Amino acid sequence: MTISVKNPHRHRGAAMLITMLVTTAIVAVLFMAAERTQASVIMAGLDDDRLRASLAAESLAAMVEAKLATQAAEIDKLSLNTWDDAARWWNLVGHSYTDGSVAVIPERALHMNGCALRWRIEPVRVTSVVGPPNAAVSGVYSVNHEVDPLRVDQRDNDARAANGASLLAGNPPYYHYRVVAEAYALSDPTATDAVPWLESGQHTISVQVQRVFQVQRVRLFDFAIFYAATGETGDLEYEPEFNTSVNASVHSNGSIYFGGTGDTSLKNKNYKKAASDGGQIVFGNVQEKVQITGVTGVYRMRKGANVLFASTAGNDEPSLRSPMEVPRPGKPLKKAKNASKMSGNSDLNGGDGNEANEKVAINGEKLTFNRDSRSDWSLPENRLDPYVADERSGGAAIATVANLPEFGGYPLEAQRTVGEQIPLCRVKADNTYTIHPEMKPSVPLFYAANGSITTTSGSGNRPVYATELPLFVFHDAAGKPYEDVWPHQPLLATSATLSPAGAGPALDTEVGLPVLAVPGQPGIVMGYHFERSLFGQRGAATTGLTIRERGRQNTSFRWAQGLETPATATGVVSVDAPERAAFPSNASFIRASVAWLKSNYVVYLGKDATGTPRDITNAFFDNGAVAAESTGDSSLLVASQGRFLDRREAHWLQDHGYFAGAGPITARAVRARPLTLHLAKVCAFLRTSNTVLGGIPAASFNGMIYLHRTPRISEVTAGTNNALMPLRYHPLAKPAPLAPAAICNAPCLFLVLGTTQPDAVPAIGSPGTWVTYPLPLPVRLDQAETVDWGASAGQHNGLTIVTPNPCYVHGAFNTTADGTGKLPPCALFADSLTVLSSNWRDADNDQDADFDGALPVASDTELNLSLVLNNLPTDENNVAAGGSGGIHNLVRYLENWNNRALHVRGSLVVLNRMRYSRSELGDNIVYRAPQRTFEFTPGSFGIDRTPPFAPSGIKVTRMVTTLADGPR
Amino acid sequence: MRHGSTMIEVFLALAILATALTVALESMVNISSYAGLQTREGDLVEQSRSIARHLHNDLANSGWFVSTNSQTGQLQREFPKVIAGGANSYGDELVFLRLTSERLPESDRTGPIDHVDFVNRPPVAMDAYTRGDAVHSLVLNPAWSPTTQQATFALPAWESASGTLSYQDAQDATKLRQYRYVVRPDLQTTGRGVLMREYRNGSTGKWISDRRIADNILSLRFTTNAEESWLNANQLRVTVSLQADDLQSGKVRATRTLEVIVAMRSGTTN
Repeated sequence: MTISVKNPHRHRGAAMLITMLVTTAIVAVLFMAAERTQASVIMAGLDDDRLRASLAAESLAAMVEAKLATQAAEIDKLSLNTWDDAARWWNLVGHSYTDGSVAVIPERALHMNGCALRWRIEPVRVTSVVGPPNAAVSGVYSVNHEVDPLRVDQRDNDARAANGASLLAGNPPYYHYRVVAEAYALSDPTATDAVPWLESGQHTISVQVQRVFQVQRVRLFDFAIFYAATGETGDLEYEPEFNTSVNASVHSNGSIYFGGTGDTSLKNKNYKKAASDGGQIVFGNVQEKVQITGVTGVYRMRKGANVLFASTAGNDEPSLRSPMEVPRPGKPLKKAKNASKMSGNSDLNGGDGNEANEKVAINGEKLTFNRDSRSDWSLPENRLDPYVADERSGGAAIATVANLPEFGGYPLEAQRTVGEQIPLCRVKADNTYTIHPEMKPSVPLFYAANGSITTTSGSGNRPVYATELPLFVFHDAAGKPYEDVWPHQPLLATSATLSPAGAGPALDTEVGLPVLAVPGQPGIVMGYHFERSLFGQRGAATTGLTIRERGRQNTSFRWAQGLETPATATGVVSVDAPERAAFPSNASFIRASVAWLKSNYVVYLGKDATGTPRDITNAFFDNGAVAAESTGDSSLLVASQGRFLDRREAHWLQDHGYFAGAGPITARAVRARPLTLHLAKVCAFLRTSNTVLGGIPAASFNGMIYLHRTPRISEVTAGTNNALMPLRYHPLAKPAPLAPAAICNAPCLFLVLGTTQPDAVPAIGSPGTWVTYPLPLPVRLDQAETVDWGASAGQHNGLTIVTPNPCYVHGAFNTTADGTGKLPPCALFADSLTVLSSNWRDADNDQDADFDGALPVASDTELNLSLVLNNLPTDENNVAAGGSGGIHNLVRYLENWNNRALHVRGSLVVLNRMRYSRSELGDNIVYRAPQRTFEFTPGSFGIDRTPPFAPSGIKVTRMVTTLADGPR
Repeated sequence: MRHGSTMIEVFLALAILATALTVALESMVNISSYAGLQTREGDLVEQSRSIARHLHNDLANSGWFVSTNSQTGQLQREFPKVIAGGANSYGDELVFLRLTSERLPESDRTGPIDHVDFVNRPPVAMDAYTRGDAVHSLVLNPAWSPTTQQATFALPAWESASGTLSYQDAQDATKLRQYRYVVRPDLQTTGRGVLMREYRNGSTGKWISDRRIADNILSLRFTTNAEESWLNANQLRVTVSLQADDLQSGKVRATRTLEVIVAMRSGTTN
């Protein structure tokens, strides 16, 4: 059988057709798959770009907010235009702003995460009714706070002219800002010169983040107690021995511990008793609630008990460094070394947990250990009370000038320092020093293992940090000011570059310190309060009274001997303060004392026609001299130099090896030599017309007195001090761990020398290290019962005394009411405060035997002033000696106050740990405690109840962030 | 010469052709099946993106609304509120409030958030604070006075039911616009759930479907740190399972699980 095929081409055609169909189908499927894949890739890319841009925009918005917030503690900077401080705002790169009436669109972009960004920040207005777009809504509005009371009316008038009459009254202490950050995801993420808002086609997608935040100005004296430091340094320990009741708010940027009292039970390791004993603690009540905020927690424990328990002398349980890790009774510790349980004497929880027995009550609620911050207050239902907060329940930190990095935690100092973790570099061109390697080509410096200096970052080498170096203002080649360390610090103390002749900025030859320029001009970068004392508030005509120890003694001040006139005086001042026994007459002693004061201290009040602080040294110290000459009584002068033995400091130095092997010189010979300001005489000087000053000094006075002792540690050769080196420590030029004799009577160790990094080798300049000499250069205030410096009737008559040094107050302070029946509002800011009763006499405490002799007996004393102090936080080094002793031991004593009372009315603000002392409370050889009463009674004070230059802080209390698509 | 083919040749050719066609057909089926799988998976990927985008936009522009319990007097977090779904449901509901944004006058209130115009609305200078723009994201307490320092000064502005929000309204959930995510069953088409965003004005109004966000929802779970304490107080954890089936055969073609943690970025501290 055969099959004939008549037309074979038909089969070929069918095969071709089938092949084409099949091929087409396959291609179509592949094409569709490819299209879908491509679309998916594009969508995924856009999503990635959107995420990239969102992250960049949110980061930038947060950074802008942080830039403002971190500086906001200097309240007057909240209204400073960005272009007035361009360096702080990334030199305005990517910044959109309005200068006058000109809107500036940035021509360069910030680059982050493959995106180009621009940003803006602006003050905004808040209203009580938020309406639909373009709708007229009623209600009131508020604009930002005006910090200067003299400008409030202008603020109100301007706001009403711009926005209508319904301005919320009272100049509320709030600021509102809107930050907008716009990120453009770049098609080419490496195109760092792209500016997408000026040239299209450079980006794939844009995103905009809008952040509105509220800054609240908080007056620290509105709190009964305020602790400014963060972390453990800011822990507030409240453990009174007697019942206490406080009807005002309390804030700590650290934790608040409500514990027990009694050193004996603590030292005996009866932690339970140490956490539970003591007086009842009552804050607020149901009707009058008070705000209690401990940012890192509010605990029913005693910090000292926790620290001791966790130490090697206790149970050595390192996990207990955090109170959050303290278990409730009966529960074991996690990862404990010794398998400890919270039971018996080892229970760290205060009280028994029973509300009926609990001694701590806040706003009518009992704070048992079951209800403290360990209960997770982020859940509102767990909170003790809406007014009691930690960071998880909305308790925001309040930033003060003490928290600004550039003050290094010590805003009372006269000069700002570099701050922590800033490397010191050596300039390549001339081997000078800088912290600005971006401005001056330079290399970072390191300590090698053997302590030598190197520019090699080898293994084991540690960076040299400029932490404690003071800052100066210099001008660059273009005339723009910048801040840097002194460039010519030498390796050798005898280097010629130490010479004052080579100083730049130049030295004030009269004062022996770098020139006091107007803010921002070449000279020192002034501390916060020092600047306000010297120059007053921005735009103000009045200043503080500034008394500052000279950088070197100015021996050109002579005293008149016998019948010499001041013009022919030949008496040369001595190095040490004059002693009466060395002079033939009362008059010569007083004249020598006055000349000595002038040679060691410079005094400023007001400004001259050029805006420079006016030197009133002669007029100030001459005040009262005539009266004093007849009696030889130096207390009739405005000031004198005291001398006595401070048992606490001397014992601590002795106990810590500062005088070991020092031969005949021991801590018994240590004397405090305070500059003593006789406040009644200072007030009289301010009130009295002075022909030299051309009127009444009070007319130039703004209510602040700034006192500063200058350490002179820069011995170039024996007995020769150089003004460029009183600025304490230099990590290269003065790295030896010995304080010179000028400070400590004998060479001795640094007060603080070490490192905060656990594995680093303790050495000067190692990471995190800061070093300070023990500094017995205190100040003292006496004759302070009446504060009346001659303020006009109805004007603010308060007084604030600021010193970065340790301070003694001798006798009562501010106990005389003014004409209105109220006390002038007063404050003292100091490194520490020791109260001497009016019974105290220097002469009775100036013998070596007073080191451990009978204590002088104190008398009842009353202080009516708010205090801004540093303290001694409880830590591993001092806990065995009682630690801080709690807030009621913030003020210290040197007398036997048994059955004597100390009454303080005012707020207590603690900024940081003491800078110039580590001495513990001491035992009965050093003091016996008084019956102490600290009362928050702002109603006792007149005017606005607030001392001049009262400290304030800020907190960001609201922030709303929204995300939007950017422009197409 | 022979014209034609033998039967053996024809059968052989047919066998080869059949084999070839079978292979080709199977390949086509496989390609088609693969393409279908890719389609389903692509759908799920796209729906996951949609879910993530909507969650991010909505919840990041939200925050805790805290009220006082009228019976206990205790503070309580009212929104976002997780309403747990039952065992037979497609998952939880989340009821939340949205913050008012810096809208421009021409803004559509239900649309996406508008951007601030850098060109036509330049910022005022920092020292010109008396002339600052009014913001829509905070609402001022008109009763604040220097003698009531502890009183709240301003609250976040939530989207209101009426379009106008006063300070009192901002504390009253019945005056605010509530949104919710809810999964509706789609029994006719996919047999799975449809994630919807709905809103209502106040606490008792009728829910209005606002946006269809994703299909193929198998389950949806929301948790806050009230349910899972390890979450930050401002975080929401969302877990979504999606499953796509072959519409003809009903066979499971693709599954996908999406887990995201969204930060509500608006701090509302006292």
